[in-house]
Amino acid sequence: MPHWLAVTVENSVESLNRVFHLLRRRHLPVGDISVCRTEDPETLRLLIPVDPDRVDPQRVSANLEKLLCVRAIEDWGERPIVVRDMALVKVRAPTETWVEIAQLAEFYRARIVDVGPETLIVEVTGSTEKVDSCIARLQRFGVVEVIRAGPMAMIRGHAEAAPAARMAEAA
Amino acid sequence: MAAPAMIQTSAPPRTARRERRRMKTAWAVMEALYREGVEVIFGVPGGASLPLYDALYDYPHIRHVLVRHEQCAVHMAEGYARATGKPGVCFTTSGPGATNLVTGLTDAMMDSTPVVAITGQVPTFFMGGDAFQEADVIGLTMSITKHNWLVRKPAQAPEAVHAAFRLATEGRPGPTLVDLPRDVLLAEAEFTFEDPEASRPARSPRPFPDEALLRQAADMIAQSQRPILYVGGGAIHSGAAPEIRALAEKARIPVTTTLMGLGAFPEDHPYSLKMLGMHGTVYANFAINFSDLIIAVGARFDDRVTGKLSAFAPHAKVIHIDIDPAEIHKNRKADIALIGDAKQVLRALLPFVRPPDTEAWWRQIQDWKARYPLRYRQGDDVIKPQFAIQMIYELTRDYRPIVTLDVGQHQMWAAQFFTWTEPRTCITSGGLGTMGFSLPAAVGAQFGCPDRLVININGDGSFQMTFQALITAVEWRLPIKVFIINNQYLGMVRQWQELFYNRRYSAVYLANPDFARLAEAGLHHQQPVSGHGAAVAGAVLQPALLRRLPGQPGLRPAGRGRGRGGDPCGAPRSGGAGHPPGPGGHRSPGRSGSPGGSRGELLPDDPLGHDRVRYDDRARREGGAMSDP
Repeated sequence: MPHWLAVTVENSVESLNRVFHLLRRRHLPVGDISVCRTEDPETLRLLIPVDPDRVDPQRVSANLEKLLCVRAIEDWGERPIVVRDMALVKVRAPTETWVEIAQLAEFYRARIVDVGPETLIVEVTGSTEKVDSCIARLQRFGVVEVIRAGPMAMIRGHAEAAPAARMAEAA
Repeated sequence: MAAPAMIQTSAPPRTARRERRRMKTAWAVMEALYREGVEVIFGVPGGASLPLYDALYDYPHIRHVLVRHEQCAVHMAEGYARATGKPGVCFTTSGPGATNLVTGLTDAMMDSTPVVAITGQVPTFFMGGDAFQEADVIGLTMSITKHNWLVRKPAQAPEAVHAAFRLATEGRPGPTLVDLPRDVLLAEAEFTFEDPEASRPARSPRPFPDEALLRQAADMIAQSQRPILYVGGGAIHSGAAPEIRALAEKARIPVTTTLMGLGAFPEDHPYSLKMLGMHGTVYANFAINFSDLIIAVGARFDDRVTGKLSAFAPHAKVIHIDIDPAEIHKNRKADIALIGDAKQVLRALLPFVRPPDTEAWWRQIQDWKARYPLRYRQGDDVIKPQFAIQMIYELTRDYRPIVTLDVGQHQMWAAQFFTWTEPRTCITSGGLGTMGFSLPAAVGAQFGCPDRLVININGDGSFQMTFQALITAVEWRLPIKVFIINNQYLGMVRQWQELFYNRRYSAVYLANPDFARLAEAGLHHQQPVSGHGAAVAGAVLQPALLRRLPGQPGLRPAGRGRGRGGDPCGAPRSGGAGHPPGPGGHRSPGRSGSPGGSRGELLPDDPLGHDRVRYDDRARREGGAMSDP
């Protein structure tokens, strides 16, 4: 289970550039970062997984805090969160395999969202592990292409305001 | 007669009130700079920054110092900032002008020096298309500035300038950059000017360390047996020298400083261990390595200090005082982190501090000091560089000089053999180790502190990296003293080749120009000193230093009353030539009837008396500033 930093930044290419530039420049080892839209069109939320054995999450956030484009940083640490990943998987599918693929999709609560002459597109949503597993099972049919959103996450429970709003209040 | 200091009275009081006016963006930028209290700008104009220079023409109270290379401009801005604590400002054009700033901005970033760079940019409609003199300045300087702004709309321009000043000085200081496309500079708009003092901080400050934490730190000090204060450049930026002294004296703790911290604690104080680290004193390094408590103030456990981190001060606990949270635990784990401005934190900490029992510790330190002093052997044949530097110190100490040092062996010898007693008197490139820093930095420092004696100690290699700054110094009649410690080698590199590369001296020999002949081209100089004994060195160095010291009229207008062999830096020639002799600060002979008559329009209230003639007048003048009538 990674240690999560939820970083709210201005919604612009420039601010993403600044964040990634800093992480690269400081050689801070972080995991795969996902970029998500939020309730506020002006901001994006970056979810940055940090392995505390490799780098102190405090150090990552202390560096990111210096960027003017960073509106808020939440250190979720080990707090209980809901994590959802999503993938679209295009598989080679002659008609005789349709039933089998549909059945497999059913087990993963995935859906078939496109039926082509030789392919099907399967949409799967869930924990990272579930999505991984679904893609692995589809491999035997011949996976043509996979696209994944990366994990989106939220703290469970609590009717707290969004971090950027809280930050604005504090200022 | 003008006031003795060139800065404080040169500009009329700034308008601080809120105001709304219609103008071109370039003028709005100048207005914002003016409201920030900018007194001097170092720069070179070019195509993209022409509108800015056009606006500058209407701001005669802001001095513009034309440099010969943009790297000099940014180092001058650094020298100015380091000497005064105020942000230094430089102007360049787009493309090559801006890219020439890169070294200096990196230097400022590493040494936390507040610098504001204003760069011209190609028009917005050309941007991204590889236009003539286009460079991605925002991308290039992203990692070497605290923040940079590309101004796309006129209204954002003054806002960006104010934000750049705020951020450059706020928290841990550093460089900022504002990139201004030419079409934006030329666009007319309605601008609102705010009082820069009233503007909000760029970032909300961190909570100050609470009392419980301060008490905990004080307890740790009281319980220590072998404490040491390890003081870096942050203490100087913060102005914490009095508080460091108070803490050292109250708790009887020895103090060592980094290169950047030289001057934060007086080295003539019995508690001083001078500099530590790779080139530091033996006793400072012994003391920190055997200590059981390090109180780090504005220092970052740099590799030049610690060597191998895992072997550094293995028994010491650490109280780390720093304004930058990202420095805590970066290189060395802190047991207690006091995040905040060093001066404020030390002030808050002092009341809780109780002296530990350091009797045995002091006996040990005195023993180390006696056994391993800084030393060298000055023989009869050649002048040791250490001796030359020590002599410069002895001869100038009473004048409280500001000393700029370059990078290399001379830097380390000067760090060792000067006795640094005052903050902001040692200006050198620490973090980046930028050869070529010190001469332009001396120019900047002299502009910031016109009444101080500014000395530049340079190496022959580093001098040649930016020696075009000499021309600017001569043009402005800056009474800077340059000492070149000339050993015909890139000495520090040679030293390492000698020690670690089997004496294979690869590419370190310097075929130098004749520095004395170079100096003849517009400078006052002394014959090179070489091959003689110590007594001769003294005899030659002394006149060089005493010839033009503060208190004599200096900073005379260029091209005015100076004949061949005359003193370009302001000492009256025999016969006086109409210059007021004797002490009394820098006079303005240009305004007190010096010969040469009216040579273009002197700008009003220019206490320097420098002939800041209108550009057209200057262009029309015979020969220009460097040649004499």
